[in-house]
Amino acid sequence: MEDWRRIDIDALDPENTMTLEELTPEVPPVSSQEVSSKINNIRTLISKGSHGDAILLAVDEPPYGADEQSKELYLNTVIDIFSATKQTDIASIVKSLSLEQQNALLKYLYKGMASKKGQQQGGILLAWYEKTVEVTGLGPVVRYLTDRRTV
Amino acid sequence: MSQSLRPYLSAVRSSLTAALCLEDFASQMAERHNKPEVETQKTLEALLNPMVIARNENEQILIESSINSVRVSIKIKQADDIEEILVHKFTRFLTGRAEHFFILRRAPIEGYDISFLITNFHAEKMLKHKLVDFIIEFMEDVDKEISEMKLFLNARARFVAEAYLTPFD
Repeated sequence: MEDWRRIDIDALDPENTMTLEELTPEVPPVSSQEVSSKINNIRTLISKGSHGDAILLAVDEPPYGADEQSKELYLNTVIDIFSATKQTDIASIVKSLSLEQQNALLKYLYKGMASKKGQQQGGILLAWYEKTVEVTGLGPVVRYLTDRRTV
Repeated sequence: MSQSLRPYLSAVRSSLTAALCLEDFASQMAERHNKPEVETQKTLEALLNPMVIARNENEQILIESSINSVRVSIKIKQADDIEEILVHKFTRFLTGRAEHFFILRRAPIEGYDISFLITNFHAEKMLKHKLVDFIIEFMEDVDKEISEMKLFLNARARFVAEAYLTPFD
């Protein structure tokens, strides 16, 4: 048996600590089919050239409840919209979004910068980030920090 | 300042400003202790989502925030072997003197070159916007410093080689 002096007894008491499940708010589960159909819709909008609508669709009700793999696919699609959009259009697109949508947009920007694909296009994401924060102020940044519903 | 550096630094500035909202918070694990929550990682409810800001794969910054402390880790650009050595020596020089540096962390986080740990006690003693300014200035200067050192090193190597090879001329 392992050394009983080294057992962290506080960790065994469920009253003592909050688990990650307790802290994450309930989100409706989203199946991978729903995510992929949404991705297809976004891709059609990108190929049509209406990037503003693509962003709007992407950040409206993002799939918080989906599994990691579909979230990854979804993120890649969002990064594709970011890189397809013209720099001059960014400010007007961000202004057209509602508060909740701006929060989701910033979540995708942060997650994008943490992913490999996003880092290869760091310049584009940084331009998006700068323009977004210029419009919204620091509110969405703080909401990103504290929101446990991850994209 | 180059075109892509400016948005990078401004993104770091707004993220840091948002993250640096610190207050005193006693440890929930041990009575009468006060530990930086971001270091212990034991009290999940006191931790916030980490932020990564990347200019490219080799230049990024990780900001991990919690209720009473913020950990900022910087990955410094290293284009070749000389820069790798210079960055290593430079960060070692700084971390070796972390005592006098207050917010410097003695060891960097895995994958990053240098880390800062700002606790609520630092934020009480120092001005928040000055702390942010300091990090930004550090990021600007460290790139400049490294490229300067590299140029100096090359010039010196050329001079030494010339002096060494003159007798055989």
